[in-house]
Amino acid sequence: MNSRVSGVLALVAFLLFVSADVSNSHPHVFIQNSLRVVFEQQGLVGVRVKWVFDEFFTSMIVDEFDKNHNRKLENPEIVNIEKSAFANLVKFNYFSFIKINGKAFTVEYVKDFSASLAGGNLTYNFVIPCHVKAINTVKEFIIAQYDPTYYTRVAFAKDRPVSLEGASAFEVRYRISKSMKEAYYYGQIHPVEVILKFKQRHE
Amino acid sequence: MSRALIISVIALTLLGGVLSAKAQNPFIVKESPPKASAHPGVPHPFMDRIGDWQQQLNQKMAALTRQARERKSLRPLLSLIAIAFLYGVLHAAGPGHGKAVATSYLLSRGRKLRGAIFLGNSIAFFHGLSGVVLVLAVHFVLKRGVSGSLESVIRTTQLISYSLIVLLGAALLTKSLFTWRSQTGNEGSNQTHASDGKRSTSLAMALAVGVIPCPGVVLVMLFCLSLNAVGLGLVLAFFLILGMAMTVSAVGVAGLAAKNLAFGVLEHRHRLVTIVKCSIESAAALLVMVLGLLFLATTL
Repeated sequence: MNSRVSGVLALVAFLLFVSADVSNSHPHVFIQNSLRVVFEQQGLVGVRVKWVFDEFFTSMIVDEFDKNHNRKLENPEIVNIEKSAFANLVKFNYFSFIKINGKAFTVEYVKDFSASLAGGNLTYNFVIPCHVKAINTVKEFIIAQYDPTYYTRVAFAKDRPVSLEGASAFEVRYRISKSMKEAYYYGQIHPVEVILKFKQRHE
Repeated sequence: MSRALIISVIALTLLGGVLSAKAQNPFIVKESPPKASAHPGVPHPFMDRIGDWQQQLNQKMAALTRQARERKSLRPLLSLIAIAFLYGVLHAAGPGHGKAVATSYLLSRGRKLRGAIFLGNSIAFFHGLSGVVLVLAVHFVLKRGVSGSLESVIRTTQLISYSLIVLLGAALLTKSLFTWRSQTGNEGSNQTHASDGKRSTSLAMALAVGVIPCPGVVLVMLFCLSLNAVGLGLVLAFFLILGMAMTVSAVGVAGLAAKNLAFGVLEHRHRLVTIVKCSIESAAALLVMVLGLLFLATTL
């Protein structure tokens, strides 16, 4: 009887491991992201994205792209990084998934890319342009960042993961929550979304 | 019932193997990404948490390595070793790392747990060693950046690895079909398999699976190189490998235990046991071959 119990336990453990095998649970790259949602006169105009990478991926990029080994990234080096270790992300929608009033907005283009080595960690900054006009009724803007292949794990920074810019003319509310409706990497992980609601402020 | 169980185990394993073959660095790889998210799936209860742990361990490991390097003290080394080991355990709990192939291979063979542990350790060892050798060779011999070379090396080794897996699978299948003939002809015999404990085949299997460099080990080595701490890198790589060996072995042992359990249920029905055993072993051997072919198809 005892051996049967331990057998069942072993089987359960095995199934867990095998199903773990299904998902790409070994993220090799870790990103801490923070988002700054930018507003102008008409309403929402885009999102400034900041990605802080783990030190191991950082050392890989430094090893390859910091040609003069001064632990600083100068312009030609940044151009190189953008070309060789960022532009390819267009195929992954820059790990950014946006919904406006429930409709998907596909991220195909970003601008103002820059890279730096602040405090030992490689940091990418870029802007996702996305114009959503504010009106008198509430509009909903949802953004989630994740790597669908889970090679990279993207998780919100502990400190100020989301902030607003130029939003004083609008009524803006947002919350960060795990989306139970969506799931990525073969349905195994729920993305964490920023759900932002905004409308024109009444005079 | 046990048959349904085995089939579902094999189906899951198969799925795991196929998916894991596609893990490539999205920042660098030029090919199109796999079509994701269209697949239905069950949220994995621990997946997110394991990822979170890994992220924390990753940060801790980087910070401690830096400390050990800067203060030239051995104090952080002990916790560093523990963390590297733990990271290895979690790292290999993810897909890939040869678990699917290893389990299928073990199911196609005998029932000895020692064999499973040996295979798991050898796979992890080759997988990690390949990463260490790659980094050292590219860095010190070619004196080039590793990230560019990494992708092409991984691709080449994948092709070699998968071809070897197909060949080994074919060999196992042939062997198992022969066993099938002799065993079913010899009703109720309780002889153990001649295939038990053949270390050389296990080693060949481990080499075939493990020849692909482990990206985790590569990243750790690179980080230590950037701190000019090659020795430290080797120590960390060693404990990472040890951790991975734990997980891969555990999976193999669990797979074998499941197989043995299935036979335990049928203990008194020798003829059925023989037939089920032979079918599992043939199916598993076929699976090794199919996995190799599928890996190849996703790589080519």
